[in-house]
Amino acid sequence: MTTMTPRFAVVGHPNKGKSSIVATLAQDDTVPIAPTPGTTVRCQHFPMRVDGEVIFELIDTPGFQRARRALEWMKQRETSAADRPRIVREFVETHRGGDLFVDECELLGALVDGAAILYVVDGSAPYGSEYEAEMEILRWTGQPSMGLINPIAKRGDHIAEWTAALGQYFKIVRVFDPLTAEFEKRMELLKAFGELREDWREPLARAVQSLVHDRSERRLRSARVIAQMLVEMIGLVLNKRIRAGVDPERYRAALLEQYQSRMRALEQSHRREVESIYDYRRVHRHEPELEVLDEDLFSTRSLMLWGLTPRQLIATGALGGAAIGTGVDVALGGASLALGAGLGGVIGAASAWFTGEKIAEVKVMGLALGGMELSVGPMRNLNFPYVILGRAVLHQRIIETRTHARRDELDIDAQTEMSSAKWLAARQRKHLERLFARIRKGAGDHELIDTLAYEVKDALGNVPAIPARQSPRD
Amino acid sequence: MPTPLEEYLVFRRRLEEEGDADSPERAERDREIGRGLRHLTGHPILQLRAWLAAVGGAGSATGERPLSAFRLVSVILAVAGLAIGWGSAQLVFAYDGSRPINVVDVLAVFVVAQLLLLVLFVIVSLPATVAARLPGIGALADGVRHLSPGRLAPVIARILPHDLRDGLAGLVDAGPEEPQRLRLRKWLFAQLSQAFAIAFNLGAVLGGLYRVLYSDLAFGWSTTLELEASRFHALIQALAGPWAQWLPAAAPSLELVETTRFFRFKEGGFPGAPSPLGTDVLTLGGWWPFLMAAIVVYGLGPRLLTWGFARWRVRAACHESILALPAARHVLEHMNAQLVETHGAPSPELSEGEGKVLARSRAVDETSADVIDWNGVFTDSEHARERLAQDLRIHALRYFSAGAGRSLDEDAETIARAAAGEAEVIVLVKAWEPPMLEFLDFLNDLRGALPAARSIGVLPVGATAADRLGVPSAGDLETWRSSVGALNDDRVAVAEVDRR
Repeated sequence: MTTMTPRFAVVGHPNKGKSSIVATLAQDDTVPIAPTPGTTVRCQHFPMRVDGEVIFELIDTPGFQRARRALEWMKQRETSAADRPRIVREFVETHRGGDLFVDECELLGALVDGAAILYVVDGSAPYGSEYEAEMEILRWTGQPSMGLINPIAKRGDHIAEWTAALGQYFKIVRVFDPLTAEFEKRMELLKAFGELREDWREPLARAVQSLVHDRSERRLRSARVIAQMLVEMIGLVLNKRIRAGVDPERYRAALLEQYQSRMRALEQSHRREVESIYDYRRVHRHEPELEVLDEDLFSTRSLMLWGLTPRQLIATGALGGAAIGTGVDVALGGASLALGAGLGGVIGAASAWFTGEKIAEVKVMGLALGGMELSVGPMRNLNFPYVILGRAVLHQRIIETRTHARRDELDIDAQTEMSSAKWLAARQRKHLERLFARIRKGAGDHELIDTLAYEVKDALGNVPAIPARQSPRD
Repeated sequence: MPTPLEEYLVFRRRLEEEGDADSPERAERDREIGRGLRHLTGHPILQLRAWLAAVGGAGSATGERPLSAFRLVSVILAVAGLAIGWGSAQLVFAYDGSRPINVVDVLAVFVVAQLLLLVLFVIVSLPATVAARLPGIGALADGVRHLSPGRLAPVIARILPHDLRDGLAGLVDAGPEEPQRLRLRKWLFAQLSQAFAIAFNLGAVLGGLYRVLYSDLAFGWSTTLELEASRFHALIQALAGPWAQWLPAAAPSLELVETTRFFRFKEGGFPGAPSPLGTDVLTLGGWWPFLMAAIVVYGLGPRLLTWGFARWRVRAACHESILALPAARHVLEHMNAQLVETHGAPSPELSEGEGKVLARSRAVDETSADVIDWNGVFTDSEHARERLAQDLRIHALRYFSAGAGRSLDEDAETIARAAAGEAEVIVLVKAWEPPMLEFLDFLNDLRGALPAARSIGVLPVGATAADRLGVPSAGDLETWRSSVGALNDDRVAVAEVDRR
């Protein structure tokens, strides 16, 4: 990393949401966040890289523990204001490795190495003068700084009070809730980081541009996953071969259960894939199970010889008959005026029709040549694709809107009103319907999936952002 | 240069090793490769080939069971085709001297029937969407597909060793959810069928030549139709059109056509009777160059073309199948999109609650105590005394301040003054603020300064309004009990307000 790379140390009192802010900005749900203070004991680095190049770095730090004592140590050595950054450095060098100022050395170490300060406070709790010692130490470092007011617990509104207090110590003061901040708000904050130093503006602008582009790419990748899921779910067919004479009704319930479970498994697997696209590794979901109850799903057809369907058998019979008839025509030197081929075709088709079922019952080495086939799927219900699309889009939007600081369950059940796919424009419905019809006919190549993915991405743009809900635990 | 099928198998194996799950390390590696291949953007197969060369470990498909099985089945089908073609030629060119070989029969079997089969191949080759639009063609194509010799591959595989049988199944078995693999199967079977047909035609040509070389054949033509020799000659000329210019010996003349016609009944004789022909008997063998050329041009030639077409479709289907592999999609996405990473190194797991000691908790009610306000819970000591008395029934005998806004020396002085009394000491703290080491240092010093008989109660207070003390949350209380518990001193408890 070059010396010019912007670095931002997120510092403050313990338990004021520093790690939550880092988790949200770094899009990392593995950052340890707990209601108990002192969870972060060592600096954790979160470099933002574009193609391997570090554009900026966030540093999660432990909170101040003995700020007054540290400030007193520094004050004892102060000779002039210009000396203060050197004294802070000396403080770190003197106490590093000792037991007294472990957390202070850890966090100030990042600052003396050139990181800017993002000082985090809880805007829902009242301001207290106990913060002044640490803010003073931060001022001594001489590093560019920003105050971030994080309204953690919604127990009160002390933002104005904090804004006034922080304004005395920090160049820029912002309110930022890492649990509910939408993407645009996060980008605004990153741009504001760039205001801390003139030469950081460009890299931070580049970072924002890359993140916006990356978000669009992730949306397209999610749309492709949804498109793949639609193809697999709409076209899903399960077959059960049944011996001739056995009542297919006996197998209906089991086959439907298998079908439902396969549908659910497909949906779940694609949801995990979408979550992984957005770097969610630990999210738990609460959602209603997909119900597939459609009587039209079932079809029973006769299986004839060697797996040929009746239609195929008749076509093949006609063809065979026509071939024999053609032979007769040739033998007669054309005197039959091709009647042989025509009659042969008709006779072949008719004999296949009348004898097919009888042949199906013939057993060779104990195995019947034919039998019945009970099929479930593909889903012909015209609304079904919209139901699964609605569910998938709702899930994607919640995931896209959610911040990585949240540790609560993903409650999709509570948001079902969004899943009706009413947000589709008429033009989009028309395009989608055409694609769904192709899928029902068995198409599913990657060109179709790509086309469908672009339609889904287009549709995702119509869906309003899902408002983040505060979890009780937060 | 590997064949498309070999390439597909190599990709399948290598990408299966990659697995479906994505990982940051792989994304980084693939992007690094992709950045050097910007000129290949828009050519996914070329990109994947370059990727394969860069990541290595691909090896060769030679010796892989699916490939070996497919090749073995191709050879078996080709040998079968050759044998059937040879056998057919022996039957069609059979001559016992009783009557000449009818040229019409030869053309019917090796030209007309084959052209009909070629039409069926065209029907089978139609894309499913096109076939479905033509009435009856869809069902016909489905039916004919089952009759394709290539479909015998799984049947032939039954006689192969177990591993080869499984290998072929891994290549041609595909579910409805795998359209690309279904398409690959269709064209692999088509390629096998065309290989069979080529072998059949070769067999027919070789069989025919064998009969010509080792027998003395007599050809003639005969039909029940009232067909003039000149019209039959015109038909033959049309058939011989493709080669008549450069192979005139294989284009029968009108004279040959006229002289080799034979009838069921002529001059009182039957076909079994001695030859009634007055012409030179050598001319009776003059048809064979034409018949051989007809088989080559109308049987073998088109089959070579359809084999080439099937191979071309196999190549396209192999590429489609490669691109349909989930890992291939991930690789291409990584190669083509800017890699944006924001995460840090894996964080250590939290061990919440492990080894945690909670301080003793006790209720405070109707107490007289020395009170120390830590970090300015109250800004005004009179207001503090009033609220403590009214809300908590605590009578503050003496009221001290410590922490924020004071120096460490002033805190030490407060401890010394508090130690001078005899009553219990209650330390007021802000419940919503986390207990820090600075406070625990103070508490420790206070404990050290007080005689053993004097207890200390740490009283977390919720945010206060003007007329009421706030009640701390259960979570805040737990946090304080946990931190004070770290002192491991029974004489220091977390005091709880009697909420009655």
